[in-house]
Amino acid sequence: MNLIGITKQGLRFYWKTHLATGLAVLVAAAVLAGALAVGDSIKATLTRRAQMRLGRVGTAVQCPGLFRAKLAAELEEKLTPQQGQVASTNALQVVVAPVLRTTGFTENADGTVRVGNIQILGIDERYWKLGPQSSTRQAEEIKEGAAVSRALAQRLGLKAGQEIVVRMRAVGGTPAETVLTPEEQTRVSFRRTVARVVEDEAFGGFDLYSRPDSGLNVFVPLEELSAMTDAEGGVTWANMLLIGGAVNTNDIRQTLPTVWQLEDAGLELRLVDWPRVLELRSQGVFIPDAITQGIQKNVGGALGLVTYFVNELRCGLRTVPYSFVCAVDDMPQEKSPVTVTQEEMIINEWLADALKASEGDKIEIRYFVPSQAKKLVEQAGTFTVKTVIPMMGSGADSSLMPGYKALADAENCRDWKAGIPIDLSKIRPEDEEYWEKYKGAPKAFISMKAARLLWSSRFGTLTAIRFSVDEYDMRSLRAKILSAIDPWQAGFVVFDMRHTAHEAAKATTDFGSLVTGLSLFLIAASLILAGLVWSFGLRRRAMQVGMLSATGFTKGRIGWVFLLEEGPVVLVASLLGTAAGLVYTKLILAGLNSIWAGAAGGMKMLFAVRPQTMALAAGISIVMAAIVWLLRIREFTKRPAAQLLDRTQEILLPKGMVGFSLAGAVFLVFAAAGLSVYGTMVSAQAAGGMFFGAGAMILIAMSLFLSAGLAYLGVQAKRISSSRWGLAIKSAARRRGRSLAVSMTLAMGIFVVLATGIFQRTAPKDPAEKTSGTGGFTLWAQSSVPLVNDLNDTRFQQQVGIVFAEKGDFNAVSLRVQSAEDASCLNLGRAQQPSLWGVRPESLAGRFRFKKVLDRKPPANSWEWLNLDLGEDIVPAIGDWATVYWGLHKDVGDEVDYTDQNGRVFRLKIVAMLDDSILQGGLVISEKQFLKRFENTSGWTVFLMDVPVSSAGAAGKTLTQSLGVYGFEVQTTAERLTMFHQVENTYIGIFMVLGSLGLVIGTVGLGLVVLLNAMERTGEMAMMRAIGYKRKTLGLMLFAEHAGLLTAGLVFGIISAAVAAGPQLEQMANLPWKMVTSLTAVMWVNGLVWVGIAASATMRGDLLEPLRKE
Amino acid sequence: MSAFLRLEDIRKSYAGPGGQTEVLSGISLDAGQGQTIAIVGPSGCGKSTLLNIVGLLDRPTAGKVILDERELTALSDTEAAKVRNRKIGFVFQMHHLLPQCSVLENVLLPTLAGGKKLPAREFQSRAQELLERVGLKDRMQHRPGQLSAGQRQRAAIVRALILQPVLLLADEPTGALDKDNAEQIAELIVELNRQEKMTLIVATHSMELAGKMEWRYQLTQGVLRQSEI
Repeated sequence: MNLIGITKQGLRFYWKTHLATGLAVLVAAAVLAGALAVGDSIKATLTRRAQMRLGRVGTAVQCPGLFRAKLAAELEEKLTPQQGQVASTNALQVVVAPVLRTTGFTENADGTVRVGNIQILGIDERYWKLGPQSSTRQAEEIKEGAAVSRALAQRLGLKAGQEIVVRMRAVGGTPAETVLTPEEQTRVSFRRTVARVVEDEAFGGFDLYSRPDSGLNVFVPLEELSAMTDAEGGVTWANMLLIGGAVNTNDIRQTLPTVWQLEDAGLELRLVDWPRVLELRSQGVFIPDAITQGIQKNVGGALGLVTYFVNELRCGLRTVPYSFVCAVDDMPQEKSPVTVTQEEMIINEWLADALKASEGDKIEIRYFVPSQAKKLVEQAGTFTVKTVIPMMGSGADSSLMPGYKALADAENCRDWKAGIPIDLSKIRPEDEEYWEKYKGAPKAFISMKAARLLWSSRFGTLTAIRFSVDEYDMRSLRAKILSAIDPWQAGFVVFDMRHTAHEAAKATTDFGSLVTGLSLFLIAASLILAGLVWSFGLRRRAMQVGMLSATGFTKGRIGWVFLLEEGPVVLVASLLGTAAGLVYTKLILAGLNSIWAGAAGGMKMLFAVRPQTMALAAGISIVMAAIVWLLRIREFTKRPAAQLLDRTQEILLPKGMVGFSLAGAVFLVFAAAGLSVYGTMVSAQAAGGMFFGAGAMILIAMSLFLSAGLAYLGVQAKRISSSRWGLAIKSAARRRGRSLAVSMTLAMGIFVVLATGIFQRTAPKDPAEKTSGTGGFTLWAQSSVPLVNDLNDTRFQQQVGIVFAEKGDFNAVSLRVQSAEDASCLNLGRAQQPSLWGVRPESLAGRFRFKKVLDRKPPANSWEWLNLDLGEDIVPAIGDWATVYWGLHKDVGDEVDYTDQNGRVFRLKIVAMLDDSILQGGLVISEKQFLKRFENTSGWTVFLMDVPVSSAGAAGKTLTQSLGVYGFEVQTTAERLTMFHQVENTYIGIFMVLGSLGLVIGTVGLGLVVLLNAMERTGEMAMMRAIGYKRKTLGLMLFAEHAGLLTAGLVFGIISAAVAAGPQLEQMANLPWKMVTSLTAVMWVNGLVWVGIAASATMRGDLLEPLRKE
Repeated sequence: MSAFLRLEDIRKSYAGPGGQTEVLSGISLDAGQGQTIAIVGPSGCGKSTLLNIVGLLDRPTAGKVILDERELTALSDTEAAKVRNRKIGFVFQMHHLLPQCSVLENVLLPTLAGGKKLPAREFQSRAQELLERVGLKDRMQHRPGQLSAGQRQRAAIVRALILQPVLLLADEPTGALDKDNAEQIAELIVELNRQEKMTLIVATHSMELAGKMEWRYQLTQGVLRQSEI
């Protein structure tokens, strides 16, 4: 005979009770384990997504311009370890794959389906070696046609053998936004047959950035795509290197400068026959200032020059159209160098004759400024003729003309394909003759100082740098220039993709904890149910507890006796529940992959569980169950043995309880009222919290009212007992704590579920309201190919066929975009470098609503925060709260490191956050700062548009059609906002579903309470039967008592939730009434069912037996 | 002879709707070792309350309980439990046997109460001997549900005696039994008490049972007086 023996007996004898508690603990453990495992699954999903997206690429090198694809082989050779130095035979050999990447959009063959924001990748066989599962087979299969990624094929509804049309942003050549670049040269289109659909595992889903729409790819052979660029023919070009193997970013940073060539910077060194000089030029016409500075500083004898195309040269009434003017600091071929001041000009004889100009005369030049949006803004400058030079030497030097292909290849002026309108009527025969004889030889020369003032742009100032052949030969000059500049000045940037992949696999939120939080009610309800069952069981054994105490068992020993019995149940139930939790995980994941896909950004979730998570869940379950059990057993062991042995003894209430409860309740009601009034005076965001607090206060007040009421009815009221319903009420008051717990648990559950559900976000009623989340804009658009024209330019509108009824019916704010990672709530992965949007701050004046700003005096226009001077390398940025707080885990005042196009790191400082806006996903900076950091970015790709709300649909269609060549995609701002709300609303929806499940379990507990109460009153029931009460009447009284508690709980919860909804009630039409009503009805009916079942079960059997036993 | 058990001015009050209600009003009693005492009185007079106080199942509002010259009322819960286990045996009106344990296991239950392991074999044989004495030799492995009311009460009595207490308290030990069983149980208690030489206090409203005790006291309106039967 020992305690173990008694334990075994107890386990066997009370197996039904143990089974019930075990089930309840199992449910709690299953939910907890399942919820935590969701976190594991999401992490595994993000990790896999990063693996599929990046394959075995460890480092990426990008350049805004083009470089030779051959650079990849040269770099690979240098990086490949020598024989005997290989670290591991299992490691991937160094692979450097050249890629030519651009963006665009694609359509199926009949144009019925279009997919925007795709990548067009020119690749060769080396690319496939870097996939998650390497395969060289792919290269053979796309020697003809194109390959598409699985994701793109699904979006297009495409199979191998079908055709696609691809329209993409042109790469190479002159920058799209320069005046002389024809607009049609900014985009390229082609049609191909799809040779193969490439799975993610085969590296079809490659994308450098984590975005909801990652991996929409078209693959074409590198040589083919290179041939479509505007770069020099005969060479295969690339703009990205993907590097895998046992190398790191430092290795690449050290090795790249040793293998690159001038051509990789878009530079060309040539020997000019006459004058005999060595000349450095750029494929982009303008030499980037960073390179110019490096050369001028480190290479002696560098002579910079810029030749600019002007519209007109005028002297008095005489004009000469469409000429080149050059600026150079020295003119080497003249025996005596002639210098000019900023106001002076040298002209050649031809011009002097044409204008009848001579020394001292004033000549005006008219030219288009290098402005944005290809807006043709003409300016003029006036110079005094210093001297006239003959038509030889510099006076007729066609080699000074820059490499504008649109002009250089033309046989005559009328064949020019400039990006500006050429008035052919102005071109005279003598102009044609000049072109025929001298081509683009400059007709006039000004000082470099004047040229910088007139013609400098972000693309560069100089069009050529010349060197004397007396000082250098081709080879030595090439070497000298290469030592003076480095790839970083040319815009090469090295990215550590391993680190990026690792960070991207982290979720924006700890989903394990999030789902656990959402499931908290369910877990709590299960544990409460377990506690109730334990109470039920212990109450049946209360006299045993008393007897054990009487025979000398201490409280601790009694606890130990019951622990030995209950412990194994808790342990086994927790372990089984943890295992069963995998079912819960699968259910949640199934939900996230279907009805709750909004919360997952459309990402397909994998199922994955770590043993550590399961162990943690099991441990927590055991501890939680143990705590609940200890609280229950303590309730019994702390009572005197005499009380436990005498089941008729009642606990009498302290006298002052009623007054205290009432006073507390009244105080809370007034406090809630005060808080509500205050809530109407603060911002909408703060008001939400105030009203929620007021609702919670009302809930507590109601519990105190109920407590006082029950106390009064249980002790004070005399007349209440004179009716059956009065008896039912008095019975409810008998175990006041238990009645209160039942009622308020349900009330709390209803309050939390409804109050949260009411806060589902809806789109603003009036999208034209400027302070709403839409900023007052009715349309949002994105283009896959950048627009280099101003959408507000009526000339451009006419050109593309955009027509509006009224002139003021349309206004567009254009944003430049540096595409990177999407930091909106649609992307579950954590963004490291969010996309950047450059905008002119004044164009957004008065728009959107700010949630939080820097702690300093605000400017009149909040968007002027973007123009704050915070230092050289700190750029002010504004972002939506969801992006900043949830996407980037930052706050106002925090900084984000960012790399510009030249690889320089600068810091974005969050100066303000927007509230619930359409600008989720990226950070907004001023356009000025944007162009400073990303000077080679041409055009705009995001547009916010004002159109009348009533015509938004029609306007959207017009724009999509008219700007179809840019892959223009339009959606209303309300739709965009709803898309973001869907994520948040989905989380709220999940919470409500899980919370409701918790309430269901709670109502099961209510049924147990009915049984508990009935069990205590078997003697009374028997007596009432003996004196004539019908069984049905007793059942109804029991039902009424508990149904009343249930209904009171639901009503309290609804009232409190209504108070909490406060500000939302103003938008009653938008509230999810259907959801609210359905949920409440289901809870109430479900509760009544359980109460009914329990009451009915109690009324079965021989109610008179207890009397007989006595 | 100094009293083996002494009750000094025991008082007990309860809070009620009308204020404090005094159930026991200054009860004093001396009992020698091995004496048998009956406390009689009508239902609700406080007999069980007095026995609970003597048996350390409840604490008096005032007064002392002294057993073998040791004051028990000031003991901590743990010390009181120890005293209840080793020195006092309690027989209740309801048997309170554990339904999941056999008769033998039930009577050995007090041997598991203390932290120290008591010699199992010794108490096993004592249990068997006692059960045999009360006529339950053939019922040792039966569960309480398989016994009659009288048999259950006998088992409860054996449980109370297993650790050889010096004080046996019986609160209406025959209250739940029919006449024949009551008579048998009454005889049993007296006989066992005589054999075990314990001080016995019985609270009862049964005059027959009270008549078997050496001393009789009447408890009326909270006051204890020695009475003549």
